[in-house]
Amino acid sequence: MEPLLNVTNLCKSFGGVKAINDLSLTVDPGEICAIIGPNGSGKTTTINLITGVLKPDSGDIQFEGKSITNYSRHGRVRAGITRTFQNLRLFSTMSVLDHVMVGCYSRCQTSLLSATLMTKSSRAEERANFEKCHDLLRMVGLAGKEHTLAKSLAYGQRRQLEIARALATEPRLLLLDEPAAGMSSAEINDLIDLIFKIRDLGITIAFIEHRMPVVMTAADKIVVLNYGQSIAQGKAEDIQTNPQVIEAYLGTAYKRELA
Amino acid sequence: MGMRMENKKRNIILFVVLVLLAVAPYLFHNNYQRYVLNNVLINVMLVIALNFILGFAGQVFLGTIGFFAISSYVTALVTTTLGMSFWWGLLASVVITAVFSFCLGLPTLKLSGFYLALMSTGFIVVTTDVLKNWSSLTNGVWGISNIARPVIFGHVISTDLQFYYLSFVMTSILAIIAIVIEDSRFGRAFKAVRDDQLAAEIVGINATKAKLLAFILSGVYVGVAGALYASFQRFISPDVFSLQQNSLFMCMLVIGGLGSVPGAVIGATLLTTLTEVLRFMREKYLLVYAVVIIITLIYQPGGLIVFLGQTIDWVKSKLTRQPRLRKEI
Repeated sequence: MEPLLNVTNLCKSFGGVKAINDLSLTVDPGEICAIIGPNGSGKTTTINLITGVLKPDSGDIQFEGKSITNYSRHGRVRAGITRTFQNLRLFSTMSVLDHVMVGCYSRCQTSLLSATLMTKSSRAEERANFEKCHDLLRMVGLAGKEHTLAKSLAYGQRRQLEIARALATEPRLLLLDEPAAGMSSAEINDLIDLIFKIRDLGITIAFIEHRMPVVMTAADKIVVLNYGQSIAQGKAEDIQTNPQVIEAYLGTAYKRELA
Repeated sequence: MGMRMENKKRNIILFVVLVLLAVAPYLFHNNYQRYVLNNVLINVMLVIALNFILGFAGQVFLGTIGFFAISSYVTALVTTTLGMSFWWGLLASVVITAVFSFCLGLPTLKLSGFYLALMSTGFIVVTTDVLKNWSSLTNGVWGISNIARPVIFGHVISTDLQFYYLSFVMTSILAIIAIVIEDSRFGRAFKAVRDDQLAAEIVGINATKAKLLAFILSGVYVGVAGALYASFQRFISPDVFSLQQNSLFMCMLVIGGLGSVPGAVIGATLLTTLTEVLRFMREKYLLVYAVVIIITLIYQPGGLIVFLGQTIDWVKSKLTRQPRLRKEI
């Protein structure tokens, strides 16, 4: 099977620091892939490179068999990749519903002229977007909050909103940067359910996470990074017992916990 | 699809303001007052134009008066040198100003904040200098006179009152189009780019295109305003288009409400009138503006429009006799 995302020999330096050093990884369609590793191992940089926030020094990123290395950020969204941010990036003046409507932008056809003249097709598209946004908000658990300003939401809800906004772009690959950061354990269970729901929609997910319960429950495949390189890729069981991973990240205490 | 409270309130305020503008010539009927009212409408269009770039797309480009000068001169030249009708002048103004606006928008891909503001000031200085010194085309500091008035079905719009209603129809159409665009996907894209450009791009918005679109729309609006201004005054010269006048547009938008179409209309109307009321102070009237701006920024940074919105909520809560809902933070 052809991988959905195929990253080969990716390199990125910041001054003298090699943040990403000859990284290769693949994500297969339909899978939930977790990216783990110690602080500074290049997890967020990897997502930044895949989504075009940063340009790589060398290497290639292929999505659905096509090289997207030179695509613009919005071009990658059109191609089917989007993300959420570790430090939430919401629009401070907008309501919850508007956030998700913004996410619909790249899939809209309406031209400025027909929007101005409020033609039948432009109104139909707006109505369809409206329905879609309501469905997405219901799915992530924000129904009834449509007209609240995003900045007055609780922290966990803001994370849900970022996911809804990302889903509105109709991605085929969704990258989540530490989706469970700062969440309570109840919220984490909801998050895991949500991740499975998104997978069931046929959307492939790759996420960065430090909380091992989330990683071990949700992920089909785990990629472990250290010093900008992938030191292991595989199923949860294999990763947990991999001596190199335990040395670099999980720690010997984790090994004892398992035993 | 229910309309949102905020949008409803905005539309009501805009409607009321437009009705007030429609009856204004009958409340203020001497020649001088009607002359001022004509200028009010032209400023309203200019401030709505500024709002596209500064209010919606959040780009600190403050060169409105430069575009205004260009569009006024286009209509002036088309109707005098080329001897064509006002309507051709209007069309040429809109197209040429939009093209200029697009070209000036291109550098914004590289510049932002102070640098962009600095560039826009430079643009104004260059524009007025060119108008002053390209005498063979613009007649230099002496300006251009005998600019044509519009003719509708063989009827010349000659009086200030007739001209006012022509401008009023155009202003209303432009204001309504502005809020329709604000509510469309393009308006949401502008605001997304303004609030967080990276986040906007990562959910699929071409930020470059959105910013350029705001510039082009602004150019179209200024094009209409400039054509009407030249035709109304029948005489224009470079010294009308000063940096001082430009800073007034900013004051109008900030005091009315940055990012709000009815706010732009209210700000332009009140401050244009205030300038006339303060004529006796000569150039010291800017002092009053400075104080008004400072007070606005301290007590109501959202501008008069936010204050009006709160007043409507208050009146409503009194009428329905329900406990006043706390405003969402």
